[in-house]
Amino acid sequence: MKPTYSVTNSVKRRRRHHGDLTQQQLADMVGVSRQTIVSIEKGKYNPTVGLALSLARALGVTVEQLFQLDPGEMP
Amino acid sequence: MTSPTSPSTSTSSSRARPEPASLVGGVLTALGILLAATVDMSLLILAALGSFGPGILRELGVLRDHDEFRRQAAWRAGYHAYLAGGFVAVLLIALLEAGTASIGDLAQSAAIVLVVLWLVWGFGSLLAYWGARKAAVRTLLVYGTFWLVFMVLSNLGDAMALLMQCLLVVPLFALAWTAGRWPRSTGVLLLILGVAAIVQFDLYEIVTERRLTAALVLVTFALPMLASGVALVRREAA
Repeated sequence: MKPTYSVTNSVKRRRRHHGDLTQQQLADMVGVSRQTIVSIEKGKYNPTVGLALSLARALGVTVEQLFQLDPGEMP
Repeated sequence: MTSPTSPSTSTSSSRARPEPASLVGGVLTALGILLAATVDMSLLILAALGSFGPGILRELGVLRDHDEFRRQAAWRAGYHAYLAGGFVAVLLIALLEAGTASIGDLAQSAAIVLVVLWLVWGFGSLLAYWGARKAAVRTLLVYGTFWLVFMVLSNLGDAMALLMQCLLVVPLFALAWTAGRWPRSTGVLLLILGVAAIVQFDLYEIVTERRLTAALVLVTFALPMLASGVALVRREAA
């Protein structure tokens, strides 16, 4: 059986620490809608690599500091 | 850290504002349904434009108002719509023609919808795995070969008829070659030829007279050209 992974992120925490950006402001910085930022922060949507890199750059952190991988069921 | 001059105003509300194109589409859909029910059913075309127009324009790359999240949500919803629509179409045919071993007039309409769903799904899968150019080239080569073999087998005793009918197939191979080099122009040409084939060979009669032969030619000649044309014209093909 293929392994499943759950991804957690600290986008909301990093956003508040980075000049207390609003979701809309962060969305504008990376070129997506506020709804996308909301979905990412709630863990309902995992962004593409490009968007993840853009978010990390906008928040002044690395991708690994922003997104963490938890291995789920292993084969 | 909260700035004293810019208090956090973020909310966790995920309500999205509809895009202008979707709003226009909604109005067109409602108008089309209203006019179809009160004036003429042909005006239902407005509803088709409203319901599917914005999505088609987005997939062609003309409209770029969706970010990756909305695109993925639309694709997932589209997949579910394909599964539900296909299942219902098959169910409809089965129920309408229960007790017989053939497809009657009513069921043929549902069968047309089913064929379109399968073809678009199949070609869409090819696009995902191969990309626009390779998918278009291979589709044209496969269907060109199919028709070439059909023409040869149908005209074995008549060399002149064989030659004339094979000329109809030559464009498919020629366009497969040009698709690799000039994808956008070839795509436009394929769209024109696909529409021309539908008109020239009266393939629209599958709707008006439900000719099965017209349906077969549509599926194996015109639709592959149209599908390949659309794929090549899309921006990703450049």
